Amino acid sequence: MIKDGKFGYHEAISIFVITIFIKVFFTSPTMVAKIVGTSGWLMTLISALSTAFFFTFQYLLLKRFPNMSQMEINDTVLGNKLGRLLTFFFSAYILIVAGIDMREFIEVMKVFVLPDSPPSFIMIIFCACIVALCATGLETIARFAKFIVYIVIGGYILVILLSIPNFRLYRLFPLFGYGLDKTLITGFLRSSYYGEIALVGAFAKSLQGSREIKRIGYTSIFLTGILTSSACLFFNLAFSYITAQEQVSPMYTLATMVNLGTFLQRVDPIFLFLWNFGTFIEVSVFFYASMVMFCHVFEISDRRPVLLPMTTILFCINLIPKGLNEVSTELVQSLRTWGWVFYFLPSVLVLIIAVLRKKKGELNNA
Amino acid sequence: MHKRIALLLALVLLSVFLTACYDSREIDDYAYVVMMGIEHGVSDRIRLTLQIPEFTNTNMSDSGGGGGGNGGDDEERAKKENITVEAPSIFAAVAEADTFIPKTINFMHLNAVVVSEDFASSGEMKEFVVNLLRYHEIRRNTSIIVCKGSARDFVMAARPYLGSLVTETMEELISKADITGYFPKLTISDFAIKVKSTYTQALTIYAALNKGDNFIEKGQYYTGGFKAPSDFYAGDMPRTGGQEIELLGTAVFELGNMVGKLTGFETQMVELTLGNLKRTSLTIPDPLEPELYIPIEIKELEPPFTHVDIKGEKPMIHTTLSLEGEIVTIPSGINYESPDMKGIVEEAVAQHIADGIKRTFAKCQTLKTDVFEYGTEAVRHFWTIQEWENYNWRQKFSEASLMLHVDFTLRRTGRFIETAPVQEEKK
Amino acid sequence: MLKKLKKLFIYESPSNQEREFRFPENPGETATWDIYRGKQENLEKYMDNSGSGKDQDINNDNDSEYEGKGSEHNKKDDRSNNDSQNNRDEKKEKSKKNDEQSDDRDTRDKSDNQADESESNEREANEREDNEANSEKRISENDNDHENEVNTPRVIIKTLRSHKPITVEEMIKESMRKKREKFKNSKAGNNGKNQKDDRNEDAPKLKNVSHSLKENIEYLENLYKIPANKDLIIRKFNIARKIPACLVCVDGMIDRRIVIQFALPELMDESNFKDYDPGKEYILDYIERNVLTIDQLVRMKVFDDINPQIVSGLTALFIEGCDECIIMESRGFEKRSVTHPVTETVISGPQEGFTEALRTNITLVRRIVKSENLVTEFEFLSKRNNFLCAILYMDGITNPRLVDEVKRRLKNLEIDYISGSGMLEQLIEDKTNAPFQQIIATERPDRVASFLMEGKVVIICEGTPFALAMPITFFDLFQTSEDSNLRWQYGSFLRIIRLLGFLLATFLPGMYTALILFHQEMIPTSLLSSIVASRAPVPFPTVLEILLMEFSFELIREGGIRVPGVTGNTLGIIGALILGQAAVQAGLVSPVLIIVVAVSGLGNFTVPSYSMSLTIRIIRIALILFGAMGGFYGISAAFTILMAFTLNMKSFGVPFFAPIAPFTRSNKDKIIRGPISEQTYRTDFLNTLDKKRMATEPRGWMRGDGGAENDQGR
Repeated sequence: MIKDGKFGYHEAISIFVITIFIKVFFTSPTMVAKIVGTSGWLMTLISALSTAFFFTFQYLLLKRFPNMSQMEINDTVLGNKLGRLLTFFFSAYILIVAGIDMREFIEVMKVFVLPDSPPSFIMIIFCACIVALCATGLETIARFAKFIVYIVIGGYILVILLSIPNFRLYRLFPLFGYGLDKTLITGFLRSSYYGEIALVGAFAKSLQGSREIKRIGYTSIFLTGILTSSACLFFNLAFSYITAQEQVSPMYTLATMVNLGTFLQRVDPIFLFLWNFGTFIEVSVFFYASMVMFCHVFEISDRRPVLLPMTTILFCINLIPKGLNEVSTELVQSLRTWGWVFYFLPSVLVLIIAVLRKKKGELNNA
Repeated sequence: MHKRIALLLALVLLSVFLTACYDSREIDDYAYVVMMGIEHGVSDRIRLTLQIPEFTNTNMSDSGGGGGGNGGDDEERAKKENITVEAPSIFAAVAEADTFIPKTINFMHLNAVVVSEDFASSGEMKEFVVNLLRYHEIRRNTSIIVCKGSARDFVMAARPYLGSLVTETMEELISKADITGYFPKLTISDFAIKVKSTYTQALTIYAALNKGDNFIEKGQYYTGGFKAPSDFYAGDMPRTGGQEIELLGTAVFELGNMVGKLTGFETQMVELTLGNLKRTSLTIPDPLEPELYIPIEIKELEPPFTHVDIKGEKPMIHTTLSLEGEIVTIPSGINYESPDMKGIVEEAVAQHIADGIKRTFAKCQTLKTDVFEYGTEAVRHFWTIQEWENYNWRQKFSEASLMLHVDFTLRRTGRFIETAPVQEEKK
Repeated sequence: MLKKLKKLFIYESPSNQEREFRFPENPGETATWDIYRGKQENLEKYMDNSGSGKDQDINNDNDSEYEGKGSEHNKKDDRSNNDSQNNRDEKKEKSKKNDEQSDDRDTRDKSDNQADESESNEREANEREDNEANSEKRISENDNDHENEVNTPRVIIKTLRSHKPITVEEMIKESMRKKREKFKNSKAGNNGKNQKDDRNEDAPKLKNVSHSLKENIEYLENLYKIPANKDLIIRKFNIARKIPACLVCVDGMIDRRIVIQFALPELMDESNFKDYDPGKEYILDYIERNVLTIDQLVRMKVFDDINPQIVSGLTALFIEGCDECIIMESRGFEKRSVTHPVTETVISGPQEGFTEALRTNITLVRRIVKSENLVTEFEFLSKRNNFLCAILYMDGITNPRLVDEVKRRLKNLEIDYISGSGMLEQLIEDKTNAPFQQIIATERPDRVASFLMEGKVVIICEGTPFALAMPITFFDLFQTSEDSNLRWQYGSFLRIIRLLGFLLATFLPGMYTALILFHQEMIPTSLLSSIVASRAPVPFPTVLEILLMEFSFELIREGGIRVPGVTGNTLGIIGALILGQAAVQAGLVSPVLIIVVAVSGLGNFTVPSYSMSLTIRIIRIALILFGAMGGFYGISAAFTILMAFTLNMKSFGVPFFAPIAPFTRSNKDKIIRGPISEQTYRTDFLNTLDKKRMATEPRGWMRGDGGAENDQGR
């Protein structure tokens, strides 16, 4: 029996910060540089703002139905069949996202560290970690995230500090990249970058009430907004906007460029740990959310038997993309651009329907 | 259930343990390339020279005792450790090298890429060098050197000096750039970024072999006037002994082709303008007795301030350098320490630096290469990339005018507070 | 089933008068009771027995507070007499009848033939249906069916004996438990049966102390298999030359002086009994108050309670006519004196360690925690070796629910034999398969004291110099008592060193493997050249090389313990040196690797907890394997899996990484130990009753007029 357990403010923020922020370590910033040039940092702040706007709807929905998870709300508002259908689609979507993010990690890993290993080998180890994390429950993932968030952010800050000699302020100019209008529109569209915050709905029951959810949601968006924006900024400082468009992983490349004296150089494999831990958590969170929703749809009370089959599905999703370019330029790109349709639109629709049908949750504790 | 999961996991892990280690290589299975030389080939497109030192414990005692002395042994070694292959591409050459090197060639510890001047000027360099970065084993902080003459000879000549490893020797040699400023400290990553950048043009270290040809052992004593130190190109230094390789000056690129080079002195001026030199030494002619020199230690007081005015037809570049310094010696014995005389030296230093920079600026304008990175200041006036790219800075730079202002303050005068004259015969 | 069970204990209708048991309150009533149950011959015998009758009178008349109990005694006494009489002649017949009655009893009865009281009681629980039938029969017929007679009152007595009121649910649970036990026993097979066969079948089956001294002695002789067993001393004598009595103790476990100087002479001395008026005072009261000059005396009735005391070295005094015995403290076995702690040596701080003697250990703790709130509860744990342990906690600090949980786990152990604290630790820990320990064992009284004051529960066991403290977190495993004895700067420094040692010990060999096999670019070129040069003659792959070296170091470590005498300590060092040197010279391993293994070994020794250091060694091997498999990626995967299990771990409800994940309020006492004056609160996750340890500014002298700047006018 896998229990969700309860966890607090710090753990929840850790989960979301890692889940959202870890993507900056992969191909996303490169794509950003390609679209908006030098103003990636500005764009991602706009994304964060629009995510906060979208999240407000979800928060209102969760507030309207206190002590209910997103899945239960869907059932209540849309009726059992339609609600479950929606949940099922979202569950499948989340699983696919997990698969694509995992494949992205594996491809980057193959490029930089393990060029000779077949992807399936990396995947098997990865899946073992996911199974271990998910088998011990969401609470454990949250606690692990709490640990790792320090390592990830600490390591990130360390990379940045060590890279200061490579920074040139002028690379930030021209400030608006390929034009302010383009930056704003892309920023709005790429709010899906922060879309993981929508998973708060699936975990709502493990969190302490809607006030807490509000705090968690906005704080996570704020923190990751700042972090991602700073990351885009620093990548820009280190590479000119033209070179930034070539990198498979700007963060890792930044780490390889560390060169302080004869000893403190070539330390990039150390930063592998940030990646690995962060990605393990990210994919586990996605996977777990997907599993929770799946079990809800089919009313499976014991999730343990579902775990291994779903891992197999995840493994198979991983095998679908042909290579890095397909993952980074097509799949990830479309996820970041259109993900908000899946992440936020359902919440908005459900909220509207709930208001129209005048459905409301019990106000026993709120 | 638990048991089954455990069993399954155990089986999976076991199979992984048994079959895995795809990327695991024993540390001594590799042949570590520490230097790479690229130049035009004779029988194929490129000629690639790789230096693969043999790591042995005896290495230490050998070169430590021998130094540069016992040439025969060292020459044999150099021959063994340097391989040259001609092939259509770098990795084709590496693949070919695998046919006669028992260990896997690995570039993880590559220290410097050496390109011959011919090759750099021919425009093929950008294709080869920039693409090196695509390969995961090549590190971005590998140094890049353009050498006069053959890259093969240069790589062959790069031997461990006062140490056991050529990488140490090269690293320490390159780190000298921070002190002398006679050559830039640039990596392959810098080259790749700059060669693609719209703000600046690429530079590399310029180097050459110096076999002592310029060293005239016996002859007439020098009677000419003041010469700025290192105001010549690599390979021209009148010296003998030590190792043959010499890093001096900058190779200047325009659109990925090497178009010119700067002397050591000019490079020093560029580095001063860029603010890369925190402290350096400079020798100026004595303002009152021009036959004699005053060596001065210069420190940066404030980072250089640059403003580029793009309002007019031609950009106006305003640059202010704030420096301070210390007199090392005063051969003329003139009491420059006194407050009245101090101004003279300060003026002379500022003038000397300004002259040097203006000279270099003029040279770069003819090469259409913005080595001073003034483009990075110009770009601040633009809001979007399109506007900036349409401005065509490279063209505008060659038309720009420079307004230079150098501030120099003499802070200290070494251990002497004033110069007492040396006793001379009374007349 | 349950309903039937309930029926047994619930008085259904008032008409069933027979079921409304009332304890006989005077001899007359007892007699009526017996008559009612058709045991005339018993009654007659009882009336004739003047000696015990006298005692009974004393019991009933004199001490009003004993009245209730006294009546119970009568009842029990009655029953035991009953038993002793009946058992001999009825036994065989009974079993035969039982056989006929039901098939499933068949196997059980074979063992039950010889079974003592408790077992027959257990059978009662199983045979409740029979009982019911029997009692119904009895109600209607009221005949002399002996078998039913024997059975029924036992049920009554069983309920009687528990002095506190028991709810029906508890009784059901109890009976179910016994049933299970019974089932296990029967499963245990023939061994038990054969053993029991040796016993004298004629010996009285006593549950409680009998009035008759002879019976008691017979019972004890049978129980302890005298004369085959030479350890038990039964010293028969007369109190004040009149009353027959006997002292029972185990040879070697007792302090002879107590028996020789303070028990026997005082009891035998007639002059001590000059004031004794049998009519007024109960003999046991008199002896307890006036005769025995021994500090600790307890009176006990039930043999199940008495026996563990006797085997633990206390002396029991049985007196003719008394259905209680006096247990006097006389433990005086050989024990080690208090010495330095062996496993947890510190430089500054107390140098006392626990010994094997429970009493001494508790005393050592009490000497530090001189508080009326320190509660010490004793519990006998195992069934066969009567393993005694003490549960210590601070009343008013420790969360009572924690204490209850510890007690619940201890009480529900169903095990024959516990050898010491190590075994107990494994029996009560939360997760057996978890990588880390969940209970900390310490040898130091001062550490136990600080655990207690923090609000933890400590178990001290007999026979082991280690106290168990629970619950613990990861950070407790890195603390020593030295940390708080030293100024905070030093304490923090030591802790950081220890944590670094832990990290080195755990990760260094694995990281080295990963580095050498996967991430050669990370090694500075000069270091790389020396590693390559030194590895050139080594024929093994790196993994094998490092595993080989780890294995030999483990051999040295384990072997060093077994080597007798002083050489053991030095063997470790010298062995490691010689082995390492020789291995390098022979070209088996590279010198860099020796350093790696040695540093990780040293790091291992900085960890204060022995269990923890073993955990580290196991994890280290796993990390080496994963490192060889996937480099840093493999190591991070291994770490993730490890953390998944570790973070899921709880020690008595407290998550293992408690103050950090999950986050709870805590003092600066995790890795950096803040100044003592800032350790204001007790750890939050223990939910102590008293949250505050000290005033917000414990140094009162800092406040007020003098303040910190008071320099006495200088």
